[in-house]
Amino acid sequence: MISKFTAIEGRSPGYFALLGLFGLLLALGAAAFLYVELQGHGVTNMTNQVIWGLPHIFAISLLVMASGALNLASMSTVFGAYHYKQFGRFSAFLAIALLSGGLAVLVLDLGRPDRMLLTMIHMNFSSMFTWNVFLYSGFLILCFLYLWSMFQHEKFTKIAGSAAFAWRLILTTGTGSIFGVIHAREVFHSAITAPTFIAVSLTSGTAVSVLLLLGVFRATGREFDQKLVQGLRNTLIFFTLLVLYLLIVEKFTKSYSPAFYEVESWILTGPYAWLYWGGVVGAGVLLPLAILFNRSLGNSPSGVVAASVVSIVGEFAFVSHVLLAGQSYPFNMFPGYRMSSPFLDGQTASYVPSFPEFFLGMGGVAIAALIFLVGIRFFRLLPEKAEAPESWHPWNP
Amino acid sequence: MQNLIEMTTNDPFQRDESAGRIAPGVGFRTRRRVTGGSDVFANPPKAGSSGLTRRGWLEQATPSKLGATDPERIKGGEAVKLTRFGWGFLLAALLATSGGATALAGGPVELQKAKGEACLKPTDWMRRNHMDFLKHSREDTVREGVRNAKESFLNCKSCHVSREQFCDRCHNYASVKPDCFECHNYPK
Amino acid sequence: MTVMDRRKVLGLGGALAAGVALAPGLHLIAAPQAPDGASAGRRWGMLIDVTKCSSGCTACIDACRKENNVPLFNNPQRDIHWIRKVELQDKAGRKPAVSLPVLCNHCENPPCVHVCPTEASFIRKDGVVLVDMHRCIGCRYCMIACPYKARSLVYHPTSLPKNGNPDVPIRGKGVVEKCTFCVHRLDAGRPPACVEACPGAMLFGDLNDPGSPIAKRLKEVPTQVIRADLGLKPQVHYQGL
Repeated sequence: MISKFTAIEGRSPGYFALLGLFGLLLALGAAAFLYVELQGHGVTNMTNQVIWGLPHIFAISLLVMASGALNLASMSTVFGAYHYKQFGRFSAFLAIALLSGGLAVLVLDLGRPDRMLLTMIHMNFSSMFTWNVFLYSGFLILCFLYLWSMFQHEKFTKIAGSAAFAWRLILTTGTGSIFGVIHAREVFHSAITAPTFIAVSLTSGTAVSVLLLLGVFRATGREFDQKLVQGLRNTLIFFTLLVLYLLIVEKFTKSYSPAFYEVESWILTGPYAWLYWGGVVGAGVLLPLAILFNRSLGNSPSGVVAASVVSIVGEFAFVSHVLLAGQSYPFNMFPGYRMSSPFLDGQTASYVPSFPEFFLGMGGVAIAALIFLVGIRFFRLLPEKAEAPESWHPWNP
Repeated sequence: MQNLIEMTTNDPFQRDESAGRIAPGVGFRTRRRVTGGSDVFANPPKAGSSGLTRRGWLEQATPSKLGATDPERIKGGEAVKLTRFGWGFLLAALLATSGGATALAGGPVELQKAKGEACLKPTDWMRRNHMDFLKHSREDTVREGVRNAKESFLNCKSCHVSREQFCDRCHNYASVKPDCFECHNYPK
Repeated sequence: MTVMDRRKVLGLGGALAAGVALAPGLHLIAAPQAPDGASAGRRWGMLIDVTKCSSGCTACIDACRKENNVPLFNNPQRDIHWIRKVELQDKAGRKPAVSLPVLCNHCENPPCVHVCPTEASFIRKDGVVLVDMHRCIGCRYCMIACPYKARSLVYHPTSLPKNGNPDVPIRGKGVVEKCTFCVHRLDAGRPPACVEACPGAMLFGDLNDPGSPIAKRLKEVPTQVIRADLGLKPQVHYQGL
């Protein structure tokens, strides 16, 4: 039984304050974009070693999160967990919002953003980027169809939802494969990179959904059944364990091959070890699990929210690690030799992001946030009351 | 408040619809000017006809009750909204990507006289199509390795001696900004 | 064969007109041009004799910089290198140090071309891997994919140096550039600038022509390529590595 869907009132000072805040961030992001576009990438701190910097981290994080945000909808439509059906509209809409934000950053960080439509004119089907052009736009269309069917034509929900679910798996595979297929980069070249991206997207997408759901419900004074909190916690636990499993398999496989000794020990003890241990492992896996498995924290909404925040930090760290460690590790052109050259061959690159890059990235977050805020204000995305069926008893660790 | 919402939510679509009819193919900038308040098309009669669904949309957000939504009364409302949102989304994306406006205007602009006797093509043709010509040649040269000297910039130079007096002058007049000379050298 | 069609159209009027019009631009036609474009029968390649490359010599780099207007920005992180000298030292310390130039390897299976979303990076019929600067959107994916670090993004606006080479266009900010094997020289029947400047360690030619010096030498002496394990089939070969 789903209570009526309603839009939020959206007249409180708090709502306008949020709009103002993200509006400001958006303006700063636009300013940063124009600055970088007019002055050239020279004003960023990217180099010829670290070629993709903070904007890409923001963009890929948002894109990964976007496909994961569809989780709650898929769980009810595809996997028959009908108690999440009430979040279906919210979930599909959030996916659209996040994807738009991420895509904007990705496109605006091009060296020549004025030429971005060339990607539509000249397509190279061996490029993951070209595939992603289709995957992203297709995902947007499917999410719109899915939303439309949920609003108007219930009978199409199953097919639209299933298509969107299949597409989101392919989509995240595509995103992960941007990195996974690159043989030259030892840090992230792996068949398991794409599945790990999927697992991370499941985790972070659920986390951001939990965060926004509980936040909006609390802010608008709507009821949220405690059993649903537990259910969402269980989902988070399951997805986080999946991430842990994939990370272990990857490290285990690579550590078994002497060719990878050097790069693996560099990852685990080198200059980006803090990001790996603190971010990917700590914030991405261990800390959320510790919170969620805790009897009191794991059952309280604020505990689950805290775990979600940490998970999102972990996702950000995961993407950062793939990008930064992946690019900083020097090319191994002559295995067994130490290289040096004026082009900094053989040296670990260093990178500290600059403010324009940060604001460009935050601009993407602002786009996503504004779409979401305006969405819940004008569309009936959220149920008035989040209820769980009497008969359903979520598992308790 | 109601007015504000009506302005911000309804108008953009109407505006662009009407503007598109008046000045198809004209750039973003012009389009906005055309739709200024004085223009009759800025408030097309159509605005009233679809007011019903819009009122429903607004009502839904009134502070009276959270549950002030009646799917029966505003049947089709969500679909309309969603579609409109979709179109708005597409439109915003399109507008964001289509940048420069090209001004088309007739008028005299004096260009430097060419030195040679005949261009590769008649003047009229060149005036209109030289960019396609150069673009095509560049594809051939860069990608196929066809080095055809007579179709190169360097050869333009042999008749049109000064870039400032010839290329730039007309480009400035027509307010187009090709970025050829950012990289290519038109020898002095 | 769009090229042919266009040439037919232009051929009649163009040939006549150009004959007259070209007179002042004589330096252009003085060099033999390649009116038919790159030949698919050719495969340009390079052989570098590492034993003849001395550690202090930078003749190839200097020649390249001058020929192709390759900019330096006084920032080693962003300076652009089409060709660079690399010093190698065996990690175990059992072998002598080696100095050798590294440049774009013009692979037969170039990963940069595979990942380029707009086909701005492409492989020409004669095996030269190029970037079409008109089409590059600056996504830098090619720089992620190239294992030889042969590519650089143009971070800052550049201009033609005072004594630069006006025949090679400079590159605008925001695109990716790299070694072209001096394609403008190849098409005019001349070897790349680095090879011309090198005192004898570099050999350049058509690998498909069994009579060419490079093809003969490759048959005679053992050579290797960088990262043969990646399967890219690079066309820059090294002798004595």
